[in-house]
Amino acid sequence: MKLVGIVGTNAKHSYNRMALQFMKEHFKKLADIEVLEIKDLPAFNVDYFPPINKKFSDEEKRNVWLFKQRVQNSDGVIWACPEYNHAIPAVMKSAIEWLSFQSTILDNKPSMIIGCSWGAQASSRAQEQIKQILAAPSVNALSFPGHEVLIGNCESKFQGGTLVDEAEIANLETNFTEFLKFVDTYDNRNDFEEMKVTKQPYITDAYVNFPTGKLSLEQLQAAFNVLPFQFEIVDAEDKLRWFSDNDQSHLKPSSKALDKPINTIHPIDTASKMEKAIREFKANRKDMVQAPYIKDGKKIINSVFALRSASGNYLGAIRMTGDVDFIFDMFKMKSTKDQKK
Amino acid sequence: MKANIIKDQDFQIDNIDQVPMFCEDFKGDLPILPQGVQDLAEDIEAADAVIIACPEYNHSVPSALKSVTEWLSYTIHPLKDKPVMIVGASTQPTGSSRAQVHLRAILNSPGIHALVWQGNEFLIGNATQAFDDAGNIKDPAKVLFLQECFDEFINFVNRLNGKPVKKDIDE
Repeated sequence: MKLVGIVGTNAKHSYNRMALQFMKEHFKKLADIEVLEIKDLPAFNVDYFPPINKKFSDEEKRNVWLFKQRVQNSDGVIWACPEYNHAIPAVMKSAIEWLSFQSTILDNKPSMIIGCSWGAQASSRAQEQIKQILAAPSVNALSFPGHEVLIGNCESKFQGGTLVDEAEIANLETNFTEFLKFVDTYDNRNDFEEMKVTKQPYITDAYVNFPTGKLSLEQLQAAFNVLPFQFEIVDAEDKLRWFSDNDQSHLKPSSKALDKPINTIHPIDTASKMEKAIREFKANRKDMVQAPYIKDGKKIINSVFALRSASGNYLGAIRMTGDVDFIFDMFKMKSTKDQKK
Repeated sequence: MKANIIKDQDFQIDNIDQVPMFCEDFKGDLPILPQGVQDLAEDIEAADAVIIACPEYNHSVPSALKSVTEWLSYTIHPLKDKPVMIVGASTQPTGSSRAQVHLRAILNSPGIHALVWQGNEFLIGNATQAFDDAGNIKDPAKVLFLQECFDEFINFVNRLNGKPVKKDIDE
């Protein structure tokens, strides 16, 4: 896991910087923490953007760009907040403005907040303020709730430039490990959970190029939503990779079945038939197996096809299943005539 | 405010674009305060009261303004016991209310110790439609309210200085 720790001050001497450096070293087996300075960023000014387009120096442009890239590519952020006048320092607010103005870098970015201070308040007011800032729609970061790291009376807790206080270290360990779980949850959530809820493919403006044309992911998903068959694809390791999402289908597997081997998701006879078919496919003895059946008076097709690359490598299998009574009914209609005359 | 509201008092507008980002190391690197800070501090010292116009960035005070408050709370304290009124405008309907809450907390903190006028808050929301081409507030009710707020603020300043106050402002 890659995290960035943002030093919330431009001062040379900073306990907050020391705290982040301590975390980087102490937790190096759990995560890769990069400590980011903000002192080289130009002061945020809306005039840098259109219509005024105030000019940056090349160095300023590069510093802003590097900072944004590092935060963007991280899995999460640790904000180290000093407190100046009951609020976060201006230089820290400026860094947040760079990350949030006409930018979605912090959108849904898991964020942990720590703070060190000379007094007993231990940066508590600054931390309350930064939580409100991170919650603003223009920022929309994922603030790690509940757990707090407030290192007060900090002068005595650091020695030789590093954190030595046992109680603070223990607190930091508890909070940081919880934060890692938090980051992990949201990492996985971004990939799949959101799509389940909103029924959207992950990238809505991508196209897939075929030899016979081009389809957007939205079109592909819509097509599978309406075709009157249930499709499932297993990969070359026999794990269920994808299934089609037709609301009318009573044969749809559960999404909890994804990434699981066939024998854990289908009833025993279906699974063993499929496994047998796949053995034949892998041995190149067959490319297709049909196993239709009748259930509750309904005729159901159940076909499995081998998927192979252009060079013949086995990629997996696609299973097509569905109620076919409607097809028989279609041809019974008087309007359906033999086209040959 | 200068054109329409402030009639009996000497009023000047200061910009903060000449104030660099605050850094506590200036004492070593720059033994004297940056010129932009000195100029602003002089004007504040000489004034009987200060009005701060506060935008809202990310539900809070812009960093440029926060930087000014940091300069004015470190080695010099011209805002100490100085009467301050906060006004703000924003393109959002909330009219900078959240930034004003934070600014109030900052001005009340021990390092600044200003005397912030309490009570009514002056907020201009939907700012892109609120001003005419000459830069005046279009809505007469808003202008009236701003006058009342300002008159109350002057009462506040006078009370602090033991001077007589104007009664019946909001009638």
